[in-house]
Amino acid sequence: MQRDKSLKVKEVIESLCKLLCALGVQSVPGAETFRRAKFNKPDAVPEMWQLLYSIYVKAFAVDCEFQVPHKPDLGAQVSLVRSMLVHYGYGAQWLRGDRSQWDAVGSRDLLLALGWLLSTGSLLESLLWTAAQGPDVLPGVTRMSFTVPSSFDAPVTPKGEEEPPLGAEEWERALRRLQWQHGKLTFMRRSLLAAQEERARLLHQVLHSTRCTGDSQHRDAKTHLSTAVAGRNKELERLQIGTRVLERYLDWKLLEGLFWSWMGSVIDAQLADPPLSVPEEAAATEPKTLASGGGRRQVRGHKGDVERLSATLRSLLSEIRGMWAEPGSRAPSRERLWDAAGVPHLEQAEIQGRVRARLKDLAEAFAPTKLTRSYRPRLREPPRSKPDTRSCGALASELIGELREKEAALLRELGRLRRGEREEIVEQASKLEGVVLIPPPKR
Amino acid sequence: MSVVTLNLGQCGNQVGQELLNVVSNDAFNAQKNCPGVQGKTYYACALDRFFREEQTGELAARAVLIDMEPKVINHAIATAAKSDMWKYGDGSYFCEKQGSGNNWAKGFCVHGPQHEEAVVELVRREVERCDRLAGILTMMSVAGGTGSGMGTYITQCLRDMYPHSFILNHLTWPYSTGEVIVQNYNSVLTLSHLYQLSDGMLVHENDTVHKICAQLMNIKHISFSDINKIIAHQLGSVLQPADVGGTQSDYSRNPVGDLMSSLACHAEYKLLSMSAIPHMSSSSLAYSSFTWPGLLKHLRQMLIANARMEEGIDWQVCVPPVRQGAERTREIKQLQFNTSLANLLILRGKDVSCADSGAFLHPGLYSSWLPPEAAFRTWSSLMPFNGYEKSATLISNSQSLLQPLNKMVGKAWNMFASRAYIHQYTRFGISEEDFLDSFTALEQVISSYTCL
Repeated sequence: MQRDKSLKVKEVIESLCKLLCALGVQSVPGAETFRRAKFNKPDAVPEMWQLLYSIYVKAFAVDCEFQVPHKPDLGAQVSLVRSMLVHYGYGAQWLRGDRSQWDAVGSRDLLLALGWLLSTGSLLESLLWTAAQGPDVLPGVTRMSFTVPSSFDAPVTPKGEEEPPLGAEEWERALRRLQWQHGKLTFMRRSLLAAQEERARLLHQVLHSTRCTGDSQHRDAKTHLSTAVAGRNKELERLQIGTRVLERYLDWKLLEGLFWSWMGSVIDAQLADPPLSVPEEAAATEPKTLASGGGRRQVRGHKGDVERLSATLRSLLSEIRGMWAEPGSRAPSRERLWDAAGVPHLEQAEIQGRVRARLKDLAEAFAPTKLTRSYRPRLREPPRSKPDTRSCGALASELIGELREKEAALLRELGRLRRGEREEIVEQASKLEGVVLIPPPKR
Repeated sequence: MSVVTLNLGQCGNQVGQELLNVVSNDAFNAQKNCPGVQGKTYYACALDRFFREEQTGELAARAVLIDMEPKVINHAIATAAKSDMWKYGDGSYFCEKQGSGNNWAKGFCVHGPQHEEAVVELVRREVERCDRLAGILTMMSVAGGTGSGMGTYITQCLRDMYPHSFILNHLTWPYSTGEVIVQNYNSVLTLSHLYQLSDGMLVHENDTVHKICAQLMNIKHISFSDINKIIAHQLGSVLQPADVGGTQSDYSRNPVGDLMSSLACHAEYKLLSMSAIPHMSSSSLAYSSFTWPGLLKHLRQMLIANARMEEGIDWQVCVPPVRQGAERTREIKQLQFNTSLANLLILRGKDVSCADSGAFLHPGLYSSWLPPEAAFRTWSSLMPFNGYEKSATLISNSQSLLQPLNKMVGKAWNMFASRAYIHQYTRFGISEEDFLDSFTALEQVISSYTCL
């Protein structure tokens, strides 16, 4: 069983290797190297570096428009690969070390980096796309350079003399002349195309008749055709290569799942190993966009963190199970859980208080209001306040009555005061002699 | 090096049939009158351009006939079969029962899309029978409904189908006095659309051809058949084999392409007018003789004075001194001088090598931005054409069509301004915006030619 599995794994890795080779990645190691890298053997390190470097050259160097030096030494390769990994967001510990020391990194780390590269984005797909695009050149067609006849253009100024700047009219004329020339070239191109089509048609006829008669007289025509045939053969070859690449890719796609489970075993092996002396805060960060798409399977977190967390989780789980197993208690009490987590009592109380307060706030803030889903808040014009005619009418008559009473009382008071004033005036006037007082006319 | 002709509508079919008649007659005569290699080559080349040999040995025209009424097509097929020289290919025609009623919109928006598949299939069949497609020559009038509307639509389809082939449209312009009330609308719509699609438009005006019939051919009762014969003669004199390179040894294998690259390289200038000399009734032809200098002198004056026939030429018009800018434009206007962008002279007949066409190389004849060496070309052939011992044809990309075009657009605009008959077009999907676009396009053409 184990043997079968290992055979299968070998097959899977070989299919990956074949695909990489077909995609034009150089220095792809054998499946054995991958196996050795899984077990972190130091002898696999240079090969893994070279593989990573080849992938970098193939996939990213063109992308970055970076001039790759021809066959750099291993130190330079390591440095470039490191930069590439950092640039695309791989956050492994070893990337923080010395940049040029290639043997400071384990082969398993490099294998994991390769896995990360394969998993983030669509590295293989983009390589496949580049391979499929290829240089699409028609066989037998060479590039031509057109030279515009100069005799046709403006009079040639002798060398040394500076040309006077062109006026607007001159520009206009030159532009029109250029447009005319452009049209002429277009027509020439069309004529050439037609001629080429005719040639192809005639060649076909010649070929056809040659095949039909099998006559040796057509040998000349055959030799003439041989160049065209060679071109076709090249095209055919190119197509065959393309097909082969696609077949490899299909093989790989079928076995990809197995590869990832194997990579999982590599990660397990990495985790099972004693931790290296590396700073703890380091962690793999989210990858930046690589080619297209994001990461799918990422090794998150640091080994130490993972271990600590899983230990806590394990102890918590065992506690809970233990408590559930106790008779009479259906659920573990909170205190027990707190104890299990190892938090002091004072702190517990404080935390609980804070939580309660927070819960209360939340409950108040999100208490269901009377508005249910069946009512939709809408903006409406404020309703016009219609006065209640009956009640207001009663109020008005009361008010009028009151006001009239008040008016009557006031009028009475006024009359009384007036009388009093008049009497007083008359009394005073009677005291004065020789003065006749005429009262003001009544209004 | 074969040309597929596409005859559309009544006018197109009649002119097309007449053209093939002229070509085949000329070819047979050439072989008969000149039995040597020369005649044979001419014969073979001429026939290969327009005809193909069927398995039965008969000559079939590389032509597709399209009309919405069967009458004209039936007549054309019958006439061709009667000639005993050639016939139309079996099933290379398409017709329906009902015409387009002189409505461009109906031809363009209804009949075109409806019958596109069948028509395009016919053309494709003919094209595939050519070893080398030199170009597609569509023949139609601009005034009617089928020829203009459907012709425009089919040209559009052909442009999509054959983006790298030459498409030359032969257009017959209506009498300015009017054959159809909406002829100016139809003409404006056709011209504006074709300007985007075609590589060049060879134009014949019914008015000028009518004058030729009346004054030069001495025909009393002029019919469309007479007019078509003149048009076919002029067209044939252009499309029959000729030596392009000046070597007198080999005929051009790319007649349409050579024509285009001599005359219509600029996308703003695509209107080509024709004038030929001499035109004469066959009875008086026997008693006349011509000299090359005389013919060329007349033809040159016809060009600069904008006359389409040798009678009634204004000999006062002369080439203005070579100046540039606004001054030249003003002078030209005063002189009524016809400025050319490019000219192509085709000489056919005896002693053609003695003909001196140097007078056409005067820089004053041409626009300021294209030198005469680039703007003028001469083709020649030693074979006499269509019974004329010596003949000269001039195709000109010049201002000569400016005046009729201007008139046409003006009349159409006046009708459009009062919205006359517009509903007949909007009914089929040509909106007022389409009209406005067409007017704008033609105004641009007019302006381009005015500023030449």
